[in-house]
Amino acid sequence: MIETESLNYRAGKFFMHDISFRVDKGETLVVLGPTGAGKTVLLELIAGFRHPSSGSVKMDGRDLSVEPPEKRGLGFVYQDYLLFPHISVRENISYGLRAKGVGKAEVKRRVDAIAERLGITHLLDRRTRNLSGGEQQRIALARALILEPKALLLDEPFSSVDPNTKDLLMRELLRELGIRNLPVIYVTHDQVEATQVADKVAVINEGRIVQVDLPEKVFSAPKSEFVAKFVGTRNIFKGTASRIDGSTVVTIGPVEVRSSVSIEGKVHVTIRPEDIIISKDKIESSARNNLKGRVTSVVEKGGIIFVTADCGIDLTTAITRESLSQMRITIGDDVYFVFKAASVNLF
Amino acid sequence: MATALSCLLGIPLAYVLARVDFRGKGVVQSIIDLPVVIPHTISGIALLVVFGRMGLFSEQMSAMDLQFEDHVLGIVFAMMFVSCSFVVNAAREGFEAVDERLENVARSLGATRGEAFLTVTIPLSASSIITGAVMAWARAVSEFGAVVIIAFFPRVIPTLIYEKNLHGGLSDSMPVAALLIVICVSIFIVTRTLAAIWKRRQEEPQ
Repeated sequence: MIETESLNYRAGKFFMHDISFRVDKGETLVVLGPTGAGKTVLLELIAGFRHPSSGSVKMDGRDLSVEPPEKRGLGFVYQDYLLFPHISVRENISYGLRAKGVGKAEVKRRVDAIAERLGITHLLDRRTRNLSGGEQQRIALARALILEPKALLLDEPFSSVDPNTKDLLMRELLRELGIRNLPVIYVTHDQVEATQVADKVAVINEGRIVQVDLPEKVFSAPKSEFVAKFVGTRNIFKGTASRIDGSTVVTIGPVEVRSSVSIEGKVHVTIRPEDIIISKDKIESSARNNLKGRVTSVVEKGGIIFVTADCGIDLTTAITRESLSQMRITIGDDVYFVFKAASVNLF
Repeated sequence: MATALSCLLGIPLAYVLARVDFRGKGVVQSIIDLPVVIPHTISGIALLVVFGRMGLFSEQMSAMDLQFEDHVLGIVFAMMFVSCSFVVNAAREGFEAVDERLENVARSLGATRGEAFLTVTIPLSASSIITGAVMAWARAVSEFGAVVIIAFFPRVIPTLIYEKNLHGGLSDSMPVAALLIVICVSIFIVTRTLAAIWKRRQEEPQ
């Protein structure tokens, strides 16, 4: 278990105020916030690269704040991975073991083992130049995990990976975290990523934690305007998908929606608000999904109106101000939400 | 010897200048640059005033049985004084170009600050440091002004040339001058070649 107790930090104009949270073994805390909110600084404070002006970091009750970074035993992966450019991939991965003075044969055995697990054996003798983002990420992860750290700190681990490989790498990362039972602190600005990995989400803004909650809670019940604005414009759910008569039916709580993505099992569901059509009367349409609900909120953000209705799940749609005044939608109205199966994204 | 001492003292100083912000950093930086801009005879006079037989520290120096004036130590010190800034400035630039977060990563992997410096920072800034050291060496070998004032004897090559020229004219001084040129050119060629090989090894894709 890793925990911070009212961490305060100041560097020039930048402040971090009263950061307190705890992450248990096997739990992943996602620190979610916009760029410049202080996410990386927070990780660096925990790792010991920066020193808080007050407060402490504790690992299983032991005070880490008094120890230098090399004694803390925490794995750290920066968003640009920062592989050592002057040595080979193998030397990168074995760096920590060599610093600890582990014998040559043992080092080789462990490097080979982890490289095989992560599918990077063919890269071991290469230099780190000219590797893809995904390859670099795996190497950086191997370099940190080979030391069997007591906790893992990940700084936007997917920001330098192209979207096609991201899904594969995400599954690998979840698998590696799953077998290790570590406390993980995972920093990102991407809510989709957050829902994929988070057991808990801490929303951070301007150096303060504004909400710590279960991911569903953060997205469905934001406690402040900032959180609502930052996370509240997307429909993200967890559900179970099954294939029925050649199409995919996803059960999300009490609601079933159809998707054109062919997968089965536990899935994350996203529906872009602008893909949902709202109507006060039932409309006949070729769209496969037609849900009835009651409007619970009407919020304007950047000239766009976000209308949220409780259809068994909270769905949000985006409409223009013009259509809002034409349809005269207000809170409490019964409405129909219509969207195509192709608009329901599953992953 | 002067170059080795410059590196030994100058590299840690350069690291501090590159990584730490402190009050008076500008002053320290200016003092390091000073020997480059002032005439070298002034450097020699300044050193003589401080470390000479009649200098400020003359008592302490004789207590420690150290002698600078007309002594090898004085020559080394004068050379260091005028050439150290090359090492410090080159090394500082080299260090500044190394991402500090690479050192952070090394430390999170269990390396102490010193180990991270030796295994990550130094290798990544090696070419700058070597260039600086070669420049410092070149400066030291050709130093005349400061050396001639603090220690005319024992003679180094530039003072030897000067003396030969005074007493025997061009014909006497030319062979020594030619020798110095040959030595300098060969050293430059060798270091350049080594640097090129080093760089190519770093950039190899495989």
